[in-house]
Amino acid sequence: MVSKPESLSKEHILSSFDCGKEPLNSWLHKYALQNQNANHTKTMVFTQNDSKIVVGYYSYNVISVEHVNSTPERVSKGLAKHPIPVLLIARLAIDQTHKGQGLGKRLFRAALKHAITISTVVPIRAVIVDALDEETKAFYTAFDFESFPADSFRMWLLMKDLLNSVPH
Amino acid sequence: MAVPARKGAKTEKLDIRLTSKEEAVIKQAAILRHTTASNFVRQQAIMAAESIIHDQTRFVVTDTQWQVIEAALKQPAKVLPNLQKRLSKKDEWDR
Repeated sequence: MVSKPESLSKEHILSSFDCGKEPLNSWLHKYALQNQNANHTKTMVFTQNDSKIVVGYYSYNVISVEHVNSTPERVSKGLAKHPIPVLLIARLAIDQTHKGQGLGKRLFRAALKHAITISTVVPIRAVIVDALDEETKAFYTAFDFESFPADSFRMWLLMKDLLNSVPH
Repeated sequence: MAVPARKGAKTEKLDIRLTSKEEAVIKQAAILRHTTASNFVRQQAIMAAESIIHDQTRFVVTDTQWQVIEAALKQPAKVLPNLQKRLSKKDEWDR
């Protein structure tokens, strides 16, 4: 059993976390809390019930999609395209000892619900995920994410389609 | 800790020129990690590259990409069946 996802804090125990992908492990161990405190990237964690042991996490950030010619000067003169704010879920990982229990799907479902909540206060137009390998791509495809235009490492879902797909 | 091998055969080759000092340092580090210099360089480069991709705060897109994005944003909202099914599942904390 796992807890409801909560915001990463210094009370969480990260040292035992191992998802099998070293870049995702070492980022959580070394940088997640630092980035959280610096307001760069926020991290939500799943913990084992009645403990602070982290067994899954996702990190997110609001970023902008910008046209190559959108310098601030051109935007202010009305000559350029305005940047499009999007929610980037760059990292999502589950501890290996908890794999095969649908925890990744539950964590991502929580992340999408979180995106819906964020969209009520921040004008995000889409959710973008990093999908660097085929396994990750298949995972997000099952949530109806599609390849981001001309980008083989990212997938996206329009916010309006997410909102429209919430069951009544 | 080792980066697990990615699915798919390693068919691509990257040639890197190094000073003899650089090579010695890499070989020493590889020994400490119980791996080959080539595997060490591969693992470290992949980690660095993935981090750079994950930590981008701006996606600068070409005009062609922009047109596709704008067109998608203008489309009427859709109901996505797989997504809807996934969102309809309840977790214990929803109850």
